[in-house]
Amino acid sequence: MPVNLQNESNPANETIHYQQMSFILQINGLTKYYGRIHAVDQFDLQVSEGQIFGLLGPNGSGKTTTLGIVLDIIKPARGSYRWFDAEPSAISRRMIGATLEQPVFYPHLSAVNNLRIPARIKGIPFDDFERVLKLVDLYPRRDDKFRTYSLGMKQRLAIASVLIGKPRVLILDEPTNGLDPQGIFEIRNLIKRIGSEGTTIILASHLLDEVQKVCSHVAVMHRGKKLFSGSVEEVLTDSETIELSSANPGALADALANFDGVISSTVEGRLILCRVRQGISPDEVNAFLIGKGIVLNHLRRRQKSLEQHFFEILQQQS
Amino acid sequence: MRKLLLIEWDKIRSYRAFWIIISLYLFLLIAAVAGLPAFLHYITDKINASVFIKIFTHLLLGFPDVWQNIAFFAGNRAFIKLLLAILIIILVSNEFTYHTVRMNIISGLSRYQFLLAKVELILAFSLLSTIILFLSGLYVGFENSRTISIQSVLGNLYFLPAYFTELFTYLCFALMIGVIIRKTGFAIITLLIYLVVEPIIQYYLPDQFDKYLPMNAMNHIVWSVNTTDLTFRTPEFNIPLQQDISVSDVIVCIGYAAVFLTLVWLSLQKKDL
Repeated sequence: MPVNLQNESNPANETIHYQQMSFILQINGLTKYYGRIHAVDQFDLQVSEGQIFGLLGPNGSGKTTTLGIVLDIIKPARGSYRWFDAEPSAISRRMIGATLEQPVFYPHLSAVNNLRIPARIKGIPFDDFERVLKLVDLYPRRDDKFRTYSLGMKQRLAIASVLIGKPRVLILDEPTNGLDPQGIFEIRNLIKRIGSEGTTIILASHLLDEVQKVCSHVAVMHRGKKLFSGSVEEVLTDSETIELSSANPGALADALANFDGVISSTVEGRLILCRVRQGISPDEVNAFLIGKGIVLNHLRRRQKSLEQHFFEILQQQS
Repeated sequence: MRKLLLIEWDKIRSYRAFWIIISLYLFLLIAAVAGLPAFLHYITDKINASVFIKIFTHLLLGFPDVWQNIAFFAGNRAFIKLLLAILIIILVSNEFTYHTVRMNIISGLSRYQFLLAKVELILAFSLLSTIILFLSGLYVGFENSRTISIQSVLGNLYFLPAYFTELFTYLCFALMIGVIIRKTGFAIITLLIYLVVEPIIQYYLPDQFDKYLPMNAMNHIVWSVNTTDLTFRTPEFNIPLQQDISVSDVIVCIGYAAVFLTLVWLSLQKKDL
């Protein structure tokens, strides 16, 4: 796991600090019901310092509820969580910059006056506002009332508000919601840049593409349960798909069925898509088929996208 | 303390509805006290007894009785201070309507501090009202007293802290409705309905319990006007007038404030925001 050292002038200190602290956020057996619906069901999660952690799941899978619980605005039925290896408190939340669902601000206040409230609570000087408002391109509109903002501007103010005072942890819930393509691009780059500076980021999203582009680690949620978690790299490579084709597709399919490393194979047009266990290389498949007297006219390893993997996981569940 | 008040001030200082309601409230409060002589004049005129106007104003608005009489007048449950209660409901329920309570908690305020900030706001409004009442009382008192001495000006001044206690408890009631109901419109309607419902409950309740109903308890600290200049009691004209403040009345009122705040606290502590 990569460890980003924030304070390069004194790396030794930071290292010790890191070793002492096992997790930024630790969630154990979190459960929350809404009536008979299990919004969050026995959910566990560990987020370490420096990770850009994607919380991925379809709408209504419990991402926002989970984040709401660890931010103390939703009371869980069961389970516990710890921030910075300590019992959660209002003080620990002051080291976290978080947005939840829609941007939440006082409609009658301007951007600057809205930022004064979290800044006062966290004890951050007001002179940081210019920096964060410029980062999200809202500086020219800083004195306009929040209620006059478009959805995209509201979203950008929400991002500005979590950045004030450079918090140790950022929680972003669907941060690119309502933004135009240009805005989405800018915000994703901003998140990556802040992450590369060592800030731990927890990003909830239903967009696989977003998680794939931005995050280092991912947990997949579905109906309140965690289906999978690991590094994005791991998710990408734990099984592989090989494309094959030959003049005699029937014989090829029969031969593949007898090969040990094959999990499943499907026909896609002229191609046979063969899912093989991790570690099985196209060479081995080819050597096996030659032994069976089958000559291939196409052989290619296909990198699997997180999206495919995600849908696979969802299908396995249902 | 200072930090929480500053946060509340940041929330309301450019909120137009706040300035409109608070201006209206303060205008009504000042006008009601400073306008009492004119009101008495109007009444005596109507009943063709304008000769009595001087007597009336001297009796009711001279030192030291002025304190009790304006506290009684300004403390009426459904009159001037109703505006302030509505303002509190709006300020509190807006936090839930716009979900800004979440923003406060996420940023690092504890639920207790969120409640404390609102209580401090209520204390500030109650204090402001008491100061306004004090200044208007001074003005009216000096205008309408025949003799002025330190003793007469400061005597009965303790009716002002009594008014403060009443108002604070009343606003705690509004805070409770705002936090528990959360929707501005419903909360205001609930307050108004309760003001009508309590007299109905009182009607069916045995008389000795009347003064323990919440609104009655608040209004029972200062329950009548009075004049020390004259004791007009004849068998035909025998209205009991309040001479003093009873400690048990104050305790009942403060007890209600404690109950309201406890309920607010439990609601904030248990429920999702």
